[in-house]
Amino acid sequence: MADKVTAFKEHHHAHHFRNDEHQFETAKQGMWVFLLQEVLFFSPLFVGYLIFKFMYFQDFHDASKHLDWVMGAVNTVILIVSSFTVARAISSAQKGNRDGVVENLIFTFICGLGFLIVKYLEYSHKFHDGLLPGHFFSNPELLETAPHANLFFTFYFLMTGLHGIHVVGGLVVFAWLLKRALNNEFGPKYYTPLECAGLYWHFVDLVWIYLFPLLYLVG
Amino acid sequence: MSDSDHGKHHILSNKTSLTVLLLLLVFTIFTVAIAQVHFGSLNFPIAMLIASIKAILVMLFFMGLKWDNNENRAFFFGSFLFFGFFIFYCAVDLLGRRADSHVVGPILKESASTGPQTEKPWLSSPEIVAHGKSVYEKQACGTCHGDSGKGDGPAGMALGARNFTVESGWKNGRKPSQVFMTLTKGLGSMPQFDTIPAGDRWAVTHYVLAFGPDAPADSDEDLKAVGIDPSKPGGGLGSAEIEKKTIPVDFALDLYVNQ
Repeated sequence: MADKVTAFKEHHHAHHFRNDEHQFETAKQGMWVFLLQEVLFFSPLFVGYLIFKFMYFQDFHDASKHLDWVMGAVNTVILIVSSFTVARAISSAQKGNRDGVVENLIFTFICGLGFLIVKYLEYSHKFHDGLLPGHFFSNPELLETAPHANLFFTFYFLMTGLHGIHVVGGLVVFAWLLKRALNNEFGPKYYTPLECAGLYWHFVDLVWIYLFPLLYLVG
Repeated sequence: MSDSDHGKHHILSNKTSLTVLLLLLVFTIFTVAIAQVHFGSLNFPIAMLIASIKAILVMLFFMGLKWDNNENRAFFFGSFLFFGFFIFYCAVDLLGRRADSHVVGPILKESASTGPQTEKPWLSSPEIVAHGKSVYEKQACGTCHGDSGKGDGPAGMALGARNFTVESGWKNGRKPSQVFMTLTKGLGSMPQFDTIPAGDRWAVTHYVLAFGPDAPADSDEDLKAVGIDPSKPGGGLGSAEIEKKTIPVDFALDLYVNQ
């Protein structure tokens, strides 16, 4: 509960909506349709990965041993915790706790940054070892033993890359939300952008929940 | 504070969100731990099951689908339904494909130059060997067999590609008719190349045999044994037999992967 009473900015619904509630539900439904599209956007990569994983089972297995599961696990925890803090930011707004919104958004932003830093460390290690997609692949050890390992790294970079772009997009959104939260814009009556950004961020978490075991653990 | 409807919007209580967070972390530890144990083919379904439990927790509580309206639920769960269709039909195609399934394949192009016309293509000649070299290069045989025919091409090591320079170990025999049939029908990881014209196949046959010591000649019986009629021009292999413009699906997939 908010200890002090914050004077939230008034928010007026757009004239083509009946009321605030109507606008909120419409925005949220639009977000869900967007996420539906996002699932289908990612799905060809998952289907392609699964097909080639079973076609070149041993090669993919050997290639995935070159991923660092500790880094993958750290990033899993980071994203799960950030999903939690986003949920906390929303419930803080619903309860009129402006500082709670700000704190949780800052923490979420830091988590997203941390995720990207770990990803950067992973990528630079892969580049150094020549573990690259397609014909850029130049790891001498795997070239000998697993001729289709390059395909694994094609999928690794496509899937984690597309996911990483979503994380970057999320950070931009959170920075913008933080600015608005500091401006006292989000309170019990109006927190639609927080709600929608939250749904998006949970989706980013969902993708990673599947990517982590698929690529790092049972690859 | 309980998970009650506060006005119209549901407010996720601290207790619920903390519980979900802890469950997600526990399942993460669980999935990492269980991946260290080898259950063989069970590892994959177990990992996917745990991931799905985590995903459902996120969807129901963090994304609030537990309290959301049916339209939004239908949108999101519907997307997974279509994802399922996607996987299902791909699996049906891959698993249900017969070994002789072919696709129309423009990948194996016909040779640009026509080979020397000969009535008895099972006999070698410098012209036919020279033409064989151009076909060999055009069809990228060297990817596996190597440019010098030693079986040392970049993709050849893992497949155990034939070394043409040695005399022994030819599974199908080393007579021209036998090598011709290997090219036509395939052998082990060697794909069949029945989509290239018979004349070109004969030319490649003589080119690869020229890498090694002189090959034994075909008798009429040898030729007849593989369905070639030595009394007819070209062995009676008409164009109808050859001009099949399709390649095996699996081989096409391999070609795409290797690109």
